[in-house]
Formats: sequence, C-alpha cells, structure tokens
Amino acid sequence: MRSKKSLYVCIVIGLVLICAGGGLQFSALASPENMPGLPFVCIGLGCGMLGGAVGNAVKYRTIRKNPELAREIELQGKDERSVLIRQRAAGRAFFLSLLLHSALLLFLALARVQPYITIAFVAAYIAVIIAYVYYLVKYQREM
Amino acid sequence: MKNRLEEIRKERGIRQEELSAALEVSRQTIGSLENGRYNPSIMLAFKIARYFGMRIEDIFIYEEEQEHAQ
Repeated sequence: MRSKKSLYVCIVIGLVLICAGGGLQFSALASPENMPGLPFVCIGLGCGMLGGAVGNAVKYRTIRKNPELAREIELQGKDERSVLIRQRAAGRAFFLSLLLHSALLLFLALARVQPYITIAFVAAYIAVIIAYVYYLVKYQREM
Repeated sequence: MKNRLEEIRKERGIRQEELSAALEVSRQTIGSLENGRYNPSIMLAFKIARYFGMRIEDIFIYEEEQEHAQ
C-alpha cells in the first residue's frame, strides 16, 4: 500500500501538470513551431496521475473503514487460482500484442511513414522480444 | 482431477466460506476444486489434507486415464 504522502504528492503533481498544460496551450511558449504537443502531454500525464492517485485514495479509505473487505481483497489477490488466471491471461495477451505489433509495423512500412517512427516501433518490438527471451532463460535456470 | 473434497466438507458440516478462510484461498477456488475444474498446487493439496487430518490420496483421486485425457 502506497503511503498517504506519496498519494498527496501524486495528486499535487497531477494538478500542476494539468494547469501547466492548460497554461502552455494558451500562452506563446508552445507555438505550433515550438513543441506543439507539449501542452497535451502535460494534460494527459496530469490527468493520469491525478486520476490514479484519487482512485487509490478512495480505495484505501474504503478499505480502512471495512477490514473484512480489505482481507477479502487481499485474499483474492494472493489466491493461487487468481494468480494463475492472471498469468495465463497476460501470456495470451502478450502473444496477441506481438501479432498486432507486427501488423502495425507492416502498416507503417506500407504507409510510407517517416523512417524514424517505424524504427522506434521496431526498436520497441525488439526490446519486448529480448525481454521475453531473457525471462525465459532466467526462469529455466531458476526452476 | 477427481476428488472427494465436497463430500468430506459436507460430512463435517463445513461451509465453503469457512474452508476457504482456513486455507487462505478464495471461495471460488474451493468451488472450482470441488467440481474438478481446477487442480490445486502441491502446497494447497497438503494444506487441505492437513486441515482434514487425512492423506492427500484419500482426498484427491489420481487416475492414469485422467493424465492421458489431459
């Protein structure tokens, strides 16, 4: 469970980012020639942080008032069947994401998108494959 | 894997909620174990056997045909 302090910090940072994004949008700093996407990145990050922190705060408050519910949630999380289901689902989703990523790369190549965008996607794809092989080897040795 | 978990549990008048709390698993896991949809880990099988004071083989029925079928 994250500490109260870290949640409040996330809420504050989220609000600051949203305000900064809004301010940049209406100021001359983020002109179309100069970092046009920065305000939206700030707003997006800010909303994400704020939403996540507020959601966690509400969750922890609810759990604190109801220890039985807290125990139930903890049990559901640690339960071996639940863990197995999550791992299986994640594995299937991973292989599906590889297929979708491959299709996306093909589309980018055919659409003649700028090379650096395609290269970034290829680098991300390769990084995922490397991570997969790394964990395969690691768990082969451990188990 | 077939098992006698439900039969033994009912004989002793234990509810699924009580058993799940004692074994620190969810009630859904107990339900899935009883109807054979889920096979327990060795640790959970030992915990169940210890809880009832029985052997694993007396609760879980291993059949060669099940192995081939899977």
